[in-house]
Amino acid sequence: MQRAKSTLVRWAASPDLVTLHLTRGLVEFSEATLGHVVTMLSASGAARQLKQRHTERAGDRAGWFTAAESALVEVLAALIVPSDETGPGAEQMGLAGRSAAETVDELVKRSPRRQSLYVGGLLALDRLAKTTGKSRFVELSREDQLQLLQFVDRLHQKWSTPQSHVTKIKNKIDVLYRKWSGVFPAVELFPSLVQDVLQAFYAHRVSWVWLGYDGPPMPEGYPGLDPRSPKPEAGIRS
Amino acid sequence: MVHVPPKKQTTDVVVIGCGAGGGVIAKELGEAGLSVVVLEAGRRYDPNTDYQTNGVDFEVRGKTVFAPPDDRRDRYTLPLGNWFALSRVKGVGGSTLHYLAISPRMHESDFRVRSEDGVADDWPISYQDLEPYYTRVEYELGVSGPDGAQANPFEPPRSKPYPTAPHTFNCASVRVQQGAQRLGLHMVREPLAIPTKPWNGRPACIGASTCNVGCSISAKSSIDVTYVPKALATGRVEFRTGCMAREITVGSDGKARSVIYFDVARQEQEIIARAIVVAGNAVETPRLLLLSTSSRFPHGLANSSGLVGKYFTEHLGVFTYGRFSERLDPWRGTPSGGLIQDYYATDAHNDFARGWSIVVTNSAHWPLSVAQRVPGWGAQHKARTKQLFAHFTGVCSIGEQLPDLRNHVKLDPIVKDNLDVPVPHLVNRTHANDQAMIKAISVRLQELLEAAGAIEIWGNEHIPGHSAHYLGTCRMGTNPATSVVDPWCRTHDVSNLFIGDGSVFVTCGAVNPALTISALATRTAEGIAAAFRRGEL
Repeated sequence: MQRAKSTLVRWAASPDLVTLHLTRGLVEFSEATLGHVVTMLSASGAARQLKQRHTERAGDRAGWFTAAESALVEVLAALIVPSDETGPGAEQMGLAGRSAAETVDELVKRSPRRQSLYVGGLLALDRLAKTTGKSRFVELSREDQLQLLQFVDRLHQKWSTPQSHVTKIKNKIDVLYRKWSGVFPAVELFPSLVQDVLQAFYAHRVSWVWLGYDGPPMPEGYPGLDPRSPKPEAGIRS
Repeated sequence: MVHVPPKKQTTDVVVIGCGAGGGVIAKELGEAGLSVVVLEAGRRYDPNTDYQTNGVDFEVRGKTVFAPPDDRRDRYTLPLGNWFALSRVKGVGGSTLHYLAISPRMHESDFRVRSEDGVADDWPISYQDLEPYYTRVEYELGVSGPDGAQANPFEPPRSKPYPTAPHTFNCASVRVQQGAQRLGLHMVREPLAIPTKPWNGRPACIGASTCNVGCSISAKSSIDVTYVPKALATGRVEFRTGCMAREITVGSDGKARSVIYFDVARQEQEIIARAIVVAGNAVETPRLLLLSTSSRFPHGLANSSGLVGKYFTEHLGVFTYGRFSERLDPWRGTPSGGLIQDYYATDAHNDFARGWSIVVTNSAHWPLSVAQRVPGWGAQHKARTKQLFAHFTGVCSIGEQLPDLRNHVKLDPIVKDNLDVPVPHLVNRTHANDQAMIKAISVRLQELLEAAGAIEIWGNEHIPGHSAHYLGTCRMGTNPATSVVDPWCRTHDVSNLFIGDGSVFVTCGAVNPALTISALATRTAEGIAAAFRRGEL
C-alpha cells in the first residue's frame, strides 16, 4: 500500500517525465507493430527464406553459420578490413589462427540477439545482390560487393544521424518501405557486422604483427617504457 | 516477484555499498570492534580468474569484465535531448575496480570556495581537518608520488611524504611534458594508488596499463585488495554480495531501524542495525534515500531540507588528442601519465571562477581500442588505424563544475530496474560559469598539444558524464535547512544514519575524488566509533 502510494506521489511529482515516457512508449509500440505487419506482407519472401535457413542450420554442427553464411561473412570481412598495400586484412587471419568467419561465428553462437541480426541480415544482402542480376552476394565482383555494402552503409548513416522532425518522419517511411522490400535487415545488421569484424581482426595476431604491438599486457607488463620499433613476428609475445 | 517474509537479522552497523567510501568505513569500524554487515549490489571479483589480460582477446574480455549480468540493473534516464554517460562499477571495490587510481588531494581553497571566490559554498570542514585522514589513506594504499624537487608546486601541505616513489613517465608523457615546459607549465607525476614497490603483501606495478580492465596481479590499490582483506581479517565484517538495498526503514523513535534488500536470489531480506551508512555513490545514495519514504519522511529519508539528490555535480571533462610523427607506445606504463595544476586556482583575468587540472591520458591505446575510435570501415579505416596506432596521446581536464540546484538526481516515475525498483533520473547541464571554463580549457589543451609538437589535434570537446566523478547530492553543512549531513557526515534528520561517499561533497574541486572520499570515510568511521563508545548509537 505504502509503495503504491509512493508510486502515485512520484507520478504526480513528475508529470513531464510521465508524459514523455508514455509518448515515447506509444510511438515505439506503434512503429514496431507497423514494421512487423509490413514485414509479414513483404513481397520479398523473407519469412519463407528464414524458415529454410533454420532448416539448414538444424543438426549437429561445429559452428552456428551455415556453409553459405560462413562464406558470405568471410567475403564481408575482407571488404571491411581489406588486404592492401598497407598490410594484411581479414583474409589473412586464417593463416595464423582462426579465420574471420570462424571468429565472428563464435560471437554469434553465444548471442541470440546477434543470431537474429545475422540470419536476417545475411539473407537480405543476398536479396540485394539479386537486384544486380546475380543470385548471391558472394558471386558479385569485388567492386559490386563494395558498392552494395556502401549503399547499406549510406542507409544506415541516413537513419541513424539526428535530423529534423520532418526528416525523421521521412526516414520512418523509408524504413517501412525497406522492410517491405526486404532490405531493412541488412541495414540493421550492418553496424554490428562492422564492429564484430573489427573486433575479430584487431584482437588477432595478424593485426598485432602488422601494427607492431607487442602485447598482451600480462603477465609480463611493460617494465621498459621506451617504444620498441615494430619488429614483425619478434614483437609478439606468446 | 514473489514476496517472502524477510529474515530478521541484527548487527551494529550496516554499510550499503563497498567502494572508496563504504569499503573504508567497513574496515575501520571492524577494527574498532564493531560488527558490520556490508551490502554490495555487485559481486566479488577474483583478480586471478576474472581479469584475463594475458591473451590475444584481452581487450574483448576487458570491455565486458565489469558489465552487469542484466542490462536493466544499471538503467537510468535523462531529460529529452540530453546526453550524459553514467559510468560506475558495482562490485566489492566499487568504481575503484576500474579507476585509474589517480589520487591527488583537494586543495586548501577547495574547502572555502564561497569565502575566496564568492561562488557556491564553503565546506564546514577545512583541508587541515582532513589532512591526517588523507595521510592514513595514502599509507593504506601505498600511494606513489613525487617529493622534493619533483614535487607538485601547487600541492597543499603534507604531514608525511608519499609512501612510495613516483612512476616514470613513458614516451607519450615525456612528449607532453616537453610541451608543458615550453609553455612554462609544471607537469609532474600525479599521485597514483599504484605502489612502485611491494606494499602490504602486494607486488609493485609492472606497467601493464590494465588498470581500467582489472589488475590481475593486484598491484593497483583498489578497495577490494586493500581495505577489504583487512576488514575480513577482523572477523567482524561480513560482505554480502549481490545484495541490493531497496529501503531503509525508520522506527517509532525516528531513528533508522533496518535495511530491506534483495539478496542474490532476489529474495527480500531485512537486517536491523544500530547505525546505517549509505555509500552507494552520488547517484545510488540519493536514489535509496528517496525510495525510503514513510509517514515521518514522506519526501524521502533525511530529506527535510529537500536537498537529497540536489546539486548533482561532475567534473568538466574536455578530451583532446594529438598525433605525433614518432612512435610513442602510450600503452607502456600506467594509463594516466602526468598532472598539470597551473590553472587550478581562480584567475582574475578569466570570466569565470575556479579552475581545472590537466591529466595526460594514455588509457586504452591497444589495437582494438584504437580501431574502434576510428569511424567507418574499409581501406580508409584501416589506413587511419595504422596512422594513429602508437602515434597519439591525449590530455583531458578535470574542471570544477559549480554546484547548481537545477542539477539533480531524482526517481524516474515510470522506468524500473531488473528488481522492479524505480531507476534514477539524472539532470546535469552546464551553466554559465561551467561553459566559460570549458571554452578556456579547450584553448589551453590545444595549446599544450601544439607546444608538444602534435602534427594533428582533434577532439577538444566536453563530454558530459565522461569524467566518471559524480558528487554532491547529499551535501555537507552545519545548517539543516541547507544541507543533508553534518560535518561528520551524519544526517541532520536521522541521528544514526550516515553518508559515506562522494554525495557529501559541497563543491567538487578539480581533482579525482576517490582519495578524498576515502579520507572522509575514514573520518566518518572515527566519528561513528566514537559515538558508539559514548553510547549514542
